[in-house]
Amino acid sequence: MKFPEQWIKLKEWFLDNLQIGTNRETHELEEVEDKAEIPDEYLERFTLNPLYDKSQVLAREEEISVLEKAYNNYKITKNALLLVGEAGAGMSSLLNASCSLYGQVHIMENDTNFNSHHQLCKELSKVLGIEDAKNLEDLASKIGEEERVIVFENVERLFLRKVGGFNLLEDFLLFIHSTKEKIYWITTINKYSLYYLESTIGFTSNFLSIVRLQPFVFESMKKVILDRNKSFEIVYLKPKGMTKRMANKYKAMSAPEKQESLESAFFKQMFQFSNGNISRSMLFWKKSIHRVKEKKVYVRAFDPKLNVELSLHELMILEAIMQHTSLSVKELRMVLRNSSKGSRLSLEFLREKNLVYPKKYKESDDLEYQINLLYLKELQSLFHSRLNRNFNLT
Amino acid sequence: MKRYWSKTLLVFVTALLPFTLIAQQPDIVGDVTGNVGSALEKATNIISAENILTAIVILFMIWLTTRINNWSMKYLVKRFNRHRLKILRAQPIINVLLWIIGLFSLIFTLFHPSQEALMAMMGSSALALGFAAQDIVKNIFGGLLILFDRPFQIGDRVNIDNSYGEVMNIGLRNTQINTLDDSIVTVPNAKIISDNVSNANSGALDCMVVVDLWLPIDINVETVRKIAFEAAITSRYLNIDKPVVILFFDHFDATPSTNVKIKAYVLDARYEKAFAGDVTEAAKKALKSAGAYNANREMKKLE
Repeated sequence: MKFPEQWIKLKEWFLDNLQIGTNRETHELEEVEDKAEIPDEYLERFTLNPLYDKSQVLAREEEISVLEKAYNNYKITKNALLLVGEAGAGMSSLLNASCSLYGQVHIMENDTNFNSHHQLCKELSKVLGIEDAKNLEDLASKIGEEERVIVFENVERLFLRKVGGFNLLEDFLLFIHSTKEKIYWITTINKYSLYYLESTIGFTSNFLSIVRLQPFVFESMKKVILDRNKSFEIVYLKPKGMTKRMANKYKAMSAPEKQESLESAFFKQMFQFSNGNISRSMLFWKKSIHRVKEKKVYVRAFDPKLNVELSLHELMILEAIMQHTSLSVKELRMVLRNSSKGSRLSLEFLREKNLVYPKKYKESDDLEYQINLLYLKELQSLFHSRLNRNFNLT
Repeated sequence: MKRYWSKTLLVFVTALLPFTLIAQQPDIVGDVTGNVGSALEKATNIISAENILTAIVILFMIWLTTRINNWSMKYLVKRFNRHRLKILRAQPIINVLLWIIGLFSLIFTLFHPSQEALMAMMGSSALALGFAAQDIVKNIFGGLLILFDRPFQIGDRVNIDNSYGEVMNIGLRNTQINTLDDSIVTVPNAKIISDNVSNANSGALDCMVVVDLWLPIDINVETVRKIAFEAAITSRYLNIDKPVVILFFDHFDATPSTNVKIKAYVLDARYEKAFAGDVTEAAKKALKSAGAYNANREMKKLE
């Protein structure tokens, strides 16, 4: 249906001139259905890339002090550190922010899975500045006396759930043990990968120092989100499907009271959804944006329900991806002992359902499929109920 | 033949004798007529169209309630798969209770039986059931015993009378098992309580699966142990919260061989065979590429 031009103009004037906090009627604005485009410059504030500037990393003072203590302990005990956190919890940002503790530090981000000893040896050689190392043992023997700090992120990238798929990880752990006198190793792993590796091969027994990254508390999470909205005014819209009682309650409020109440309800809902996971909070925010216009952001709490019936096979694919952080079609075929076409078809289905998304990394030739963080908790809850996984969901 | 007819006539006359005597007594005749009349009236009151209709409606209601119970249980099973077995356990008990409560309330509301009548009814029912439906009663009592003694529950993997599979239903007369080749085996409850029953998971969602691998006697145990272990821990069907154990046994029969037993838990007893197959496949492939398993050499040995 096409509206007459006058009507559109009138509507625009109406939207532009309505101000929350004035005595004018506001409920019409809150019922606006059409979604305007969100400017890229605003969306950039909510990209999920790790932060590199310490000043931007908020509410992590306690964690940084724990890392400092762990480093001081290393100077005496010479033990590697394992940092455990949920995917999207901000481990990389925290490590970037803690760099100043160590002086010179090398960070290996490891965005893709390692396929061979050769690849790992090459990457480590690059970081250690050693040429012509034939294998990890050779590399270990060539390391000089100089003390270093190396952050090896996503250690789960070193294994593939197949027979023989743990060799690289085991060899790396041996490499860490043989070099820990000279190198302070900080390795990170995501919580779900650790659940699998701990249950099957007792992974944490290789680390005496383990730091579990705690989720953000409500106030910190709110602060981070509001901080990213600096210089924008936020207008909270009434949620959809509101009960009559609630609607009447809002009607009786003044505009500022209404905003205050809506803001409080919005952030409660966000926290309930994200459980303090900052990436999930940002995704929630992004999904909730209704309109951005002239330094004003209109948000309405988004309903994150997962309305997809998943078969056992699909759940197993999703679990395999979550265990490895990301998998290519070829890797998935090896993990599930499937045909290549079968794996591709299943992934396409999951992609259509928005449960996974493909990502192309510079180092990799293949597309890597990752879990959509938006459904992380819902999927873990499904693994718990349908795959009998006793993973701690909190 | 003549003797037979004379005997029959004698019996007939003897049988009629009391009636002819009664007919001669007008008072007795009057009492009997009165009693018969009142009994007939009572019977007509009980077997009235209204009562029959009420009984039909109540029976239909009981049946409908059991169907609703079955449907709700199915929904709950789907919604809370993790508690599947606990939910299924309650289903037959609720159905039996519904029938018992329904039938008792039907009898008491419609017929208002006196205590004596109730006792007489129960006594005669017991006698009749004892003779006419001995096997059925045995099965019903067997069913009740299974429900309350709980040697197994719906969803358990059991072996009864050489039929191995998942218990699908515990009825009053029989128990249904879905075997691994998807056949439904119906076993009378009386047989179950008198036979041995082996239960693989006893109410738990997971169960232990033992995968047997037969390998040459001269295998490299270290390599095989690693492969067997990894074949189990990489299976998608593994219950990763429980341990995996690898055992070796040597056999010195006609062809000496090593039996490798992989003991692991499957995430859900329903995927028991899928798990065993998956582990065997992975182990076999890896053993072959490691040179520990050579089908041709095995065949030659057998020859």
